[in-house]
Amino acid sequence: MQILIIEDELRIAKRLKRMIQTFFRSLLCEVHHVDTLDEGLQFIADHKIDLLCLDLNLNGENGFEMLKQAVAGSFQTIIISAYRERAIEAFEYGVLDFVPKPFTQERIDQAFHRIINEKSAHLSTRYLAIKRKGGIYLIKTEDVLYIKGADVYAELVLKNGITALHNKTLESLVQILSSDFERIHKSYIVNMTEVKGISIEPGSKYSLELNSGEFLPIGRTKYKEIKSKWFE
Amino acid sequence: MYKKLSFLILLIVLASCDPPGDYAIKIKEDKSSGKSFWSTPDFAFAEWEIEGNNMRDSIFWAKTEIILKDNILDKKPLGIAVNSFGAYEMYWDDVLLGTNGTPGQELLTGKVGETDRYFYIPNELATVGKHHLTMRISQYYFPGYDRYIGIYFGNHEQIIRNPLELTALIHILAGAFLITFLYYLLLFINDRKNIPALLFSISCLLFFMLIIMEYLKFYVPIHYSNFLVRLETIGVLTLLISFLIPFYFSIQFSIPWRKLVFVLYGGLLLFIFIKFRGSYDFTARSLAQSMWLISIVMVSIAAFYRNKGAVIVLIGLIASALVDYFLYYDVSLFLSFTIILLCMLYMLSAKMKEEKFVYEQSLIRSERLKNELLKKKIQPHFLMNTLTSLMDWVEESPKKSVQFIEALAEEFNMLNQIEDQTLIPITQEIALCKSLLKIMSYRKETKYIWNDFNIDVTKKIPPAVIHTLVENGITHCSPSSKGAIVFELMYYEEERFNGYELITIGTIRKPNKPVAERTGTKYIKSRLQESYRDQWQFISEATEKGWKNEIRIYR
Repeated sequence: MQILIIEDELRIAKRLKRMIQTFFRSLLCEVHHVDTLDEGLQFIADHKIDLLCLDLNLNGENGFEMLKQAVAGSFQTIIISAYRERAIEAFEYGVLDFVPKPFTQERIDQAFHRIINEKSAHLSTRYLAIKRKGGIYLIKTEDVLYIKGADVYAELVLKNGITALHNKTLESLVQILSSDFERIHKSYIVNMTEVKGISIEPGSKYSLELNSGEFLPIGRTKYKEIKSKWFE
Repeated sequence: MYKKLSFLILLIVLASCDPPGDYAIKIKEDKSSGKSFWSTPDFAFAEWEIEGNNMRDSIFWAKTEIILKDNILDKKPLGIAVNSFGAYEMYWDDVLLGTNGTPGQELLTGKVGETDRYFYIPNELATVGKHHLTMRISQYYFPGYDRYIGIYFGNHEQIIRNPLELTALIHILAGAFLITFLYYLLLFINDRKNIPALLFSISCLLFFMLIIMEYLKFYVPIHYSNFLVRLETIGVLTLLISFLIPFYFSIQFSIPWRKLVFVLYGGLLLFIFIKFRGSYDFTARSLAQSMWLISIVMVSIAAFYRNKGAVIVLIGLIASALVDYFLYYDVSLFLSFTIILLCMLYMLSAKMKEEKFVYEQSLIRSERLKNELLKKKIQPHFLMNTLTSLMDWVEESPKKSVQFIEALAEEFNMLNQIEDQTLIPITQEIALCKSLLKIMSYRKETKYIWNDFNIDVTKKIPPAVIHTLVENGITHCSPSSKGAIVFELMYYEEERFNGYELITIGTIRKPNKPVAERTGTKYIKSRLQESYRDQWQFISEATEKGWKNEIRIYR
């Protein structure tokens, strides 16, 4: 696992690095540290990373600018910051966790558990950032009808019929999306507020009928759970 | 107040619209040395000279014809008001109405008589038809002056009362100016820097004196030999007013080249005053016109540069010039000067309001700065990062963490001491910077070196200004190749200012980032403004050596 820390205080960076390595103990993990935003952006462009640990105030620069770019990437982001009052905003952009300073090993462990846990953490993500034509665009999660897995990408299908590619995998997305979203199939995540009902077809084929009239397949192993959670 | 004032002005206008009597007066020298009378055939009226000649030291006759029609009889009893130099006898046809001194005997009798005299015409003499009004006059005190006589004819009571009524009204105005003079004088005494208040106060006093001098003649008997003293006084007052008013506006509108302009302008006024000495009304008019001209030019410049209030004052000045142009002089003088003084008062009150606003803003700023200083101690970025580092130090080395806590305690302690002050000793500020560097060296594990040169320990500086610059240095610079960031503070004195120069020697992270966006710049500027009121300069720029900050405090 490749992890990048962007933090301008050396002492804190060293502490974080030590704690991450403690957490992953047996897992193979490599932790890099840079202390400016520019270096961080450069590093992300040159290397494939799995996780970004970002401080929101770096040498007087606003880390939120960086955050918008980060959340559009394929990796997950954890914010480590002194500014607790910005936590809600950070979650809306789709970060995996917000660790306030000062932090302990326990709090770091709690954040990193979310990475290895595939289940949704039911966060309050309101936007999904996508990269398109060199720019970053924010899509409201409430506008998303469903998400279809496409290799290492995810295809967002919006209520208005438009589709957009997101750099994260379905596995990553399900971790950060709110409880309105349910993984119904290995290739589908659905916005359950847009669902009409379940339809059963001959041969025990289950599908979900959307308000739009579309039908999406439900995974054989997921059927029971979905039925009891949403329709009973 | 404006309503009352405009009513008063209207009254004055109405009361003074009665023009002076327009009678063709002719004069003739009395060569008979009092033996013959004006009505003898030798004195054929048609051959008399018209008024305005110089009769040297002779006694002469002055005569005019008055035709009484039916309607005049309602105005009985009739009277005559005379405004004239000289000692004279006054005749109505052949009857002596009265005397004003003794013609021909002036130097023997002393100064008997007044410049303004009133004569009663007995009812039995005021019959319908043609009458002769005749005076036998000598003018020994000013033999070289031309002869002019002003005659006013009407109801006896009215011709005495009318000027007094006008005088009473005008004196109400004078009283207002006297009070205003005292008020602004006291204001100035309590605030010696308020030069405009002093100028306005003096203008009000001069104007008060001008009114008194102008109307004195209606109730204080003045012998004609002293009449010119009054006119001279009025001339000097006009001269001073003509200088003061534009000077006042030039200060209020901060007109450039003021000194030079007013040396030249003062020279022009003096030239007019001396050159035309003797022609009093002309001098007064020329002085007043010069005043309007220069005031209007200056206020126009101020209006062009969008100076606050300039447009209103300009309108006032033009209005007062128009009043002066269209109205009868005695009235216009007061009306137009009153408009100008109102303009001055307006500027004064506008400036007062502005100053009050600035003062209130400064109070707010001081409160805000105190807050900002307080926040420095508890702002999350500083506090939480410090605590995180501290946790780490505690886990790693208890001994070092104790030193770290000591440094932190020292910094908080010093911030506590200075939080209420606007100026602190420079030594305290330096100690504050050093303790910050100590804390930061634990946090960032970077070496910070502090050097100061030529520090005058008696000097003071607003709190946490250099401290903020050091914070900036830490934020915006990374250690140079030698692995350290060096701060060098130097004090210097120039002819016009003292200065502090703080150089941060290190690698500047973003040399092109605008200074205004750097953290704390606003705080520094506000602090300097609070203590030095525009007499400071803050320079912040990248140099070859590193980032340079300079604070200049002008004397």
